Order: sequence, then C-alpha cells, then structure tokens
Amino acid sequence: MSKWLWIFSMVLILIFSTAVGAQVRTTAFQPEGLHVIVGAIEPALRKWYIPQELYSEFGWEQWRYTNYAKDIYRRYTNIGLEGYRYYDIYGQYITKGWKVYDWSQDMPKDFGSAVFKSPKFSKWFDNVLVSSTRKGQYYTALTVGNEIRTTLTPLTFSKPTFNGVQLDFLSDKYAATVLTSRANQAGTVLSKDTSPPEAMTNFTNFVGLRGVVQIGRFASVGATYVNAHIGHSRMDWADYSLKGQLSTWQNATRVLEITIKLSDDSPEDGEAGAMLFQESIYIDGRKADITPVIKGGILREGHWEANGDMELLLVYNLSGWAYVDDQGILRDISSFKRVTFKLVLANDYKVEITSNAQRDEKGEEIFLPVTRAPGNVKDATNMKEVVFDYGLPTANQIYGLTFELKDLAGFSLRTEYDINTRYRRFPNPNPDIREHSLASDKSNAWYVTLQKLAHPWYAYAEAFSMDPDYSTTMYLTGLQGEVYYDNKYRYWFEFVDDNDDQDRWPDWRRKGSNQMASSDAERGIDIIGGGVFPGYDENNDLVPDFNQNWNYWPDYEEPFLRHTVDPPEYLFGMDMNNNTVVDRFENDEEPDYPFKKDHRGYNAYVGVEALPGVKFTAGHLREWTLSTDKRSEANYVLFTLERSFPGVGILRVFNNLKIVRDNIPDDLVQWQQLPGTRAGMVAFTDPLVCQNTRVNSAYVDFNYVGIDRLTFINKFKYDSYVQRKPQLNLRGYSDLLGVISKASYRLTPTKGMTFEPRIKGMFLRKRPFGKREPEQKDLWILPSLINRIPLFEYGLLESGLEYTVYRDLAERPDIEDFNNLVFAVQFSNASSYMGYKITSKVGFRQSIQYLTRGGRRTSSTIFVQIFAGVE
Amino acid sequence: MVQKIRRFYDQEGNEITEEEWLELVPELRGESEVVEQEITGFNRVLVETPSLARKVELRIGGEKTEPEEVEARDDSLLVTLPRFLFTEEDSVEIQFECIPFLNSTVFEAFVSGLAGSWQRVDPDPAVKSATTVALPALAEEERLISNLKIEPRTITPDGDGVNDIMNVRFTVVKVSKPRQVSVKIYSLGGDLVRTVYSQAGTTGNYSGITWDGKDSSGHRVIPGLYLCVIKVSGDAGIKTVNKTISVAY
Repeated sequence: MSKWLWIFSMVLILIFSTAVGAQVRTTAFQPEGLHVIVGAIEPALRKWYIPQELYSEFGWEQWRYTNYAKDIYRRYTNIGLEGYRYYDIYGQYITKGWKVYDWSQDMPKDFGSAVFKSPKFSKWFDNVLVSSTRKGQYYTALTVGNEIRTTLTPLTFSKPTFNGVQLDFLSDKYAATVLTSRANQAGTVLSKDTSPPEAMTNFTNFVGLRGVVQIGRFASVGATYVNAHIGHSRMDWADYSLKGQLSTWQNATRVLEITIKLSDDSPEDGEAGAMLFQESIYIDGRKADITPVIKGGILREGHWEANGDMELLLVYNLSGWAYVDDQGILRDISSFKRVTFKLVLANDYKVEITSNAQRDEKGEEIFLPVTRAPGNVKDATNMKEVVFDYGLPTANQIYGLTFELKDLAGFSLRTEYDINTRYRRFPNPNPDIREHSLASDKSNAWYVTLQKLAHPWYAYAEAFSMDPDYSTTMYLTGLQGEVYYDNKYRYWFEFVDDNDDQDRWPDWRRKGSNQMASSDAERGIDIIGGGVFPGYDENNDLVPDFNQNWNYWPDYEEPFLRHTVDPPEYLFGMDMNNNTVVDRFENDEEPDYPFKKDHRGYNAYVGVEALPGVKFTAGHLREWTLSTDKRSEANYVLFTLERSFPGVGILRVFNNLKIVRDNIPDDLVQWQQLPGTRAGMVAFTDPLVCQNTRVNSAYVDFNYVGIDRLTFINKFKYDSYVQRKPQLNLRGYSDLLGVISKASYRLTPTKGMTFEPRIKGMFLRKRPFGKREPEQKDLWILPSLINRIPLFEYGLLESGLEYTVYRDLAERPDIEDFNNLVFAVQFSNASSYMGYKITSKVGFRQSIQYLTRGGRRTSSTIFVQIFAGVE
Repeated sequence: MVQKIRRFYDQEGNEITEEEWLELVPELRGESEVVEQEITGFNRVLVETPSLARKVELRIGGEKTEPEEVEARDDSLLVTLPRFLFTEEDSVEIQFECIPFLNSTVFEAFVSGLAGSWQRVDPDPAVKSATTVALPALAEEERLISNLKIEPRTITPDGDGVNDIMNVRFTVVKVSKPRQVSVKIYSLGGDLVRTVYSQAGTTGNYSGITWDGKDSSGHRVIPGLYLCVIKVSGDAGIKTVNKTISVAY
C-alpha cells in the first residue's frame, strides 16, 4: 500500500512541479525556436494548455474561478505600444521598438529593391535619423534623411537636399564619407508601420565616396568617386555593375533603325556647319553594307553639308542585314550585340543619335548627343574620323583628386581634377545575350586656385578647364524601368544642383518633393513669384530685399518705403563676365560649378593695401570656349577704399577700369518684379556690349553720422562703356550716372512720440547701349514726414505724408512728369492673445498724382490687418 | 548624230532584216527605203581632275587601244577616241593617275560626239559613291602640308648658274577655304631672313616657289645652315613643316 502511495505521490509531485516549473520559466528573446518542455510531458488525457500571455501577464488560468472583488480587474493593454522585437541577420536581438528605415536589395528577384520608411520616420524624427558614436578622437555618424545638405566637392557632388544615406568617419587626420541612395525613388514615408516597403524591379542607384587625408599641418589630399547607375533586380549579383545595366524597359525593344543627326554647332553664323565625307557602319565588328537613307543637308562636291539651321539625317535600317559568324552561324538582327559608326567629319559639326528604342512619352524619337567639334572651324582643317558605338545610357561616373594647401608661408592652394565617364549599352531583348556591349565617353574638368598673402601685398591666380561634355547628370528609371531622356523634371538626377541663391532648395525642378524650389507650399511661405534671387536676400529671410512686405509693389516704388530702399540700378559690384549684370546677382540654370562648363582660361591679379582700407589691384584674365570660337580677355585695375571717420561717417569708394574683348554670351534667368505684377523669372540675354570696349565703373557712398539722430546718406555711381572700335547698332559711348542723396532726422518731442522729416533726391541719367534706344534722364525729389504718437499702453497712431516730384529731363514723348502726394494714417496696437502677439493695424492711405500736362489720378486704400506673431 | 540606213519590208509591210529580204523571191519582197536615223555616239571623253593626269591608258570593249589624242591639264583630261562609239555594248575605260587633295573628290565625266555639245555621264545608282574617291588617310592625318620637296637642299648662289636657286614644292591638304600659306627662311638663331611666299590659298599643289639665297634687303646671306619653314594657318591650328637648308659659296 505504502509503495503505491509513494508512487502516486511522486507522480503528483512530478505533475505539479513540472506544471509550476513551466509557469515560472523565464521567456528568452533570442530566436532559439521551440524547446522540449519537460513539464508538458504528462501522460494525462486531460487537455491542458501551456501558460502563455494570459498567465504570464495577467495570472489568468483558464480553469480557475476569477473574482475581481479584491484584486481589481486589470484591463488588456496593447503590447505593441512599446514596439516589437527585432533581430539582425545573425539572430542577435537588437531592440524592442519599431523599424523606421530599411533599404534592401535582393537579386535575382522581381521587386528586389525595397525601401521602407515608417510613418515614424516623418512624425517622430522629422525625416532625419542620426546614429553616431565616438571613441577618443574618432567619430562616426550614419545619417538618413530626405534633405541632407551635403557636398563632396564642387565638381562632383553638392546638393542642399540629398535624399539618401550618409555615413561619415572623422579623425584628426582622416575623414571619409559614403553616400548612397536609390535615386529614382529614395523612399516615400509610408502610411502604416505594417505597410509593405516600396519595392521595385528597376532602379537607379547612387553611390558617392570621399576620403581626405591631412598631411602635416597645412596640406590635405582627397579622392572622390561618385556614380549613378541603372540596374534591375532580376539579374544576378554577378551581373551587377557600376557601369550600369539596361533596365527591363530599355532592353525590351529591339533596335531596328538608328538615325544619326548632323547639324551646325554654331548655327548663328550660317556657314561651315557639319561636313560629312564618308560614313560606314559596323555590326559586331563587321562592316555592314547598309546604305543610309539621307534626309536634309546639301550635297556639294562629293560631300554632304549641314549649315546654319539645316539638319542632315542618316537613317540606317538594320533589319535586313545579316552575317555569318566564325562558327558558320547566320546572325541576324536578333543577335546583334554591337553597332559602331565611323564618320569622316569636318568643320563645326554636332552629332546626335536616336533609334526606335529611344523615344519620349509620346513615342517620338529623342536625340541624345554624341560629340561636338571643338572650336568653330570653317576650313575643314579639323577633318577626322569620328567613331562611336550606339547605346542607351546606363551610368554616369566621376572620379577625381583634390589637393589643398592652407596658409603655408602665406600661400593657399586648392586644386581639383576629375574625370567623367558616361556609359551606355546596346540593347537587345534576346535572352541569350547577358552581357550587353558597353561603350563610354570621357571628359574632364579641373581647376587650380592659388592665393598669396604677404601684407600689404596679395596675389591671386586661378586656372581652369571644363570640357563641354562634362556631366553630373544621370537618368532615373520609372516604375516600369522606363527612361524618358528629355523629361528632366521626372527622369534626371543631378549630382551638383543649381542653387545660385544658396538657400535650402535647389533652383531647378527635378524629381523629388525636396526639389521644388519654386513651390510655394514647400517653402512654407507664400512668396510672390516664388523665384530665385541670388544676392537679393542679405538678411536671409527668403524674401527679396526689394520687396520685404511681399506685395505686388517693389519697395523702391512704394510710398514711404522708397525713402530707404534704392532701386537696383544703384548697386555696385564686379561683372567679370561683362554681361552688365553684377556677378553676385546672377542666376542661371546650370549646376553650380566653380567655373562654367565648356570654358577654359585663367585669371590672375596682384594688389596692395597701400593704406588701411585702401587697396589697388591689377589683373588679367583670359577665357575661351572649347566647343565654339568665343573668347574673353580683359586687363583690369580695381581701386577700393573703405574708411570710417569716427564722429563723421563711413566712406566707400570703388572704381573698376578694364579693357575688355568679350564675345562669350553669358545669358541668365533673372528675378524681376515690375510694379503691379507678380515677380517672375525672366530670361536675360547678354547684350555683348564689351567686344572691344573700355569699361569704367565707379561708385562712391558716404554715410554721415556726425549728428545724432540725423541719417545722411549719399551715393554716386557712374558706369561708362567706350567702344574702341565702332560696333553696329551700339553707341560709341554709353553710360549710366546715378546720384542719390537722402536725409532724415528723428525728433522726439515727448516720450514715445517721434517726428521724422525726410528728404530724398535721386538722379539717373542713362545713355543706353543701343543706338536707337532713347536716352533717359530722371529726377526724383521725395520729401516726406512720418509721425508716431503713442496711444494707450501699446497703441500707436502713425501718420505719414510724402510728396514726390518726378521730372523726365530727357523729355521723352511717352513719359509724363508728375507730382504725387501720398497721405497715410494708421492706428496699430499690439497685445497678447492665446499665446501669440497680436498686432493690428487699421488705416487709410490716399495717393493723388498731379500730371504736369493736366489731369489727376487718385487712389485710396482702407485697410484692416491683424498679424499673429511669435516674437 | 544623224545616220542613213536602209529599211526592208515584206509584202504585208512588216519590217524585216536585210538577210530575210534577200532570201525572199523578188515577187514576195516588199519595199526598201533609205531613212535618216539619229544615233547616240561619242568620240571624246572629258574627265574633271583635281590635278594633272598622267599615265593615261584607254581600253574599249576591254581591249587596250591607242587614243587618237590626249590633252591633260591641271583641272581636266580630254581623251579623243580613235572612232565613234555607238552601241551599248561598247565600254570605255580610261585609266590615269592624278593627285586628289580633298577627301571625297568627285570625278565628273562628260562625252561628246559633236563639237561643243557635251553630255554628262551619270554614275551607276546601284554603286555607292561611284564617282567619288575617298581619301580616308586624310582623316587620320593631322598634317596640312605634305609632299614637301626642296631642291637642292644646298644652294650656292654665286651666280654661276649651278644650284643658284632653291625650289620649294609642297601640297596643302584639307584646307577648303583660303588660309594663309607662307614659306619663310629663318636663321638658326630664329631671325627671319626672307619671306619667300605668303598668300592666302587652299588645298592644292604649290610649286614655283624659289629662293635665291638673298635676304629681304636683297643681300646674299652668309653661308651656313638655315631653316625653311612652311606654314599653313588653319582654323584647327597652325601647322608648320621645318627643313634645314644650307647655303655655301
């Protein structure tokens, strides 16, 4: 009996202990799979359940009676509130939380390129994640963001809003950076954590590398590599190439017909365009007797020409040709791997190419450039054989070196040399062809700047060369792998952005929500015109300084404001490219390279600071274009004086005299606002008025501060252009004379009350460049009076009176003299309301214009304005 | 050209050959008549050439034939055939040598049977560039000056009539528009002794340029070595060829 009791007891203990042991077993988060639970080994028919969440979290047992009278009920909580557990590829536990970003590429596999951006990437982290660490003097950081401002070098990579990943390493002597991105679709923030990643088969990947080594105290050497390439995830990793592969869409069309276009690279001269002597086509290395259909051009003395606006088209139909290879197998168009053209060309040719596999969204052929003749040869002495393979673009790559020397014995040197290679491959959908024939074009760019400071002397020299074909642009694939080469807004990716106004948005529209510089919504402010205005925003508030109150009226035309704001004609600055626009205000639609593409040249100057604030500089520059026959040459002297006279004022004097021969057109796209209109970007054409000219620009301003509360500012500007040889349609002597003198005095009769009489006089005389343009001679006199009287605690009653006298001293028939009286009064108040500073303005303004020939124009405005401020 | 021929007819008025007509008995023969017929034929061939043609050979119907007359000029070659050629079966082949200066030089040919009346020979449309001669080597050349000959390289300008004058001949290639071509004599020190030739010119043969051993002032130069520099100022660059020459007495 006792034996059976002992056995029975042991069995009970065994059951109970194993059940308890199972209950108290701690959970391990390492992925270990399932285990054998000894406690579950019980030969009982009764069904029982391994204690899991309900028991471990809430102590609930299915078979036990629950009563919440004493132990109050605890509700279920969402265990997902603290996230989920994640493991790495080795099974190591990472953390409990949320996956915020994931970029993976699995090959070969459809939709193998996947980018995951959780909604928390945007909501929690505002589209930037940084993972950093350091040890001693070694630092590293991984940054993932939608708008990373990053630069490797000015010739290779510089973007204010890079969408991708940046890995940096830094120590006292070494620095390295890796950039990478799936450029065609870097990742849209998803709506849910459980949303599938953005997966695609075709992609354009970008990778950038830069390493810098400090040598000694003064020098550093760097190397840079940037590459953007097309690929697709259906291919094997072994086929992955930084030279790119054709996307599935690019390789879907068999090339049946190729068209070469020859045209004049300088059509404006109407002569000596492209001369074609011979043409031949080679397929897979064999000369093909395919005679092209020739359209356009003229046949002259045995050769073809395309001059001026003419286009000469050579249309090759490949479908009817075949050859027998070395194994005796007939090869037709379905197995062609490589098509090569040899053209004997001369003079100023431009070669472009297209095929039936190179179409735009409407199905029309798109020509892509092949090559251009250097210079503008007209006598056929540059005759050469031009050889090129046909292919679709697959990659763009740049690699280069930099060297920098800082302040070694007064010398500072910076130099960069880069080689750009653009790859293309011949498409053929034949599945037997895995390696598509590769062709490439190379071009390079370099610059050197050297500076020497040895007070009071200083010297500077720069030399540079930028090939016309140097490119920092690559094509992006669409969802289906499509690439429409002419659609720059959607299918172009720029390594170096155009950002002449140096703000956080690139100036041009390209793919990506961070690329819309002209989008008012992206800027967050409703800027008039939404334009690009380099140099016009000195206070960096993203509002042009000529229209600080964001209305339809430039401030230099607006009553009361025009006392303090002067028109842009009175600005002074350097105009090194002689297009009559001060260089720091120029805007173009080109990448922001330090020197212009298709230019080569040098510039050097030496100067001395003869007295404190007084500098003399003399220099010489020579620059020429590589693909055309334009050049710019100038000898210049510059005098600058900036002196402060304590108790008197500040005097600034600048004078720039130069002898110039410049026929390089430097066209721009400039921000412009005319009264009553929205500002916009207006094309500006270089008037080329300095082709053989003596130019002098003088500027003097003096700000008198000798009397307290008196502001007295004087400005004088004089630009003259003397043509050293008569120019058709240009005046022999053109000039611009501008004088501004303005004063104001602030009286404070009582506390808080101000009484400010002001007066401003402006004179502008302009003899334009064109002979037929009328001269301009304007005189403005603007006396005004501003009063401010405090009312209540924070209220202010302001009134103003402005009288304007305008006289057209040149007596142009379409311009009428007038006097203008503006009266304005407003009551403003500032108070706090719901955490904001509420400023209200109620007022009235009336303007009466008296025309000297008779007549009167009146305009009135009544306004109520309320502003909610955070200051 | 007009030719008189006799036509033969049978009794029904159908034209038959002379042999058939003779085979018929006289009672069954029809009329015969002499008619004038215009025929195409030529006996002169004119070929436009870029330079003087030499070593001219003529073949008619594949057989070498002696031409009646050959007149070669700097810009053309006129060959008079020994007889008129009328039928399509006759082929005329003229072989000659000349120097083309331009890539894709077109050789135009004309034939004539009547004085003053020329008809152009059209190229075979089935043959690509049938009358165009390509010079692919020119495209590979960067030179603009070739075939330079200076004879004699040493001159003795002592007035004895032997080697008193140096002749310079060369060919300019690839220059399609007038550009400055010059021949100058320099001393070894780099001083210009004499500009022998300086004019705007295009592609072609340049000959008849001479130097008599005198400087620009008309004085005989001192004996020694000099440099003869031929220069062509093309838009794609200035090309020069230098040759040393010597003066002895």
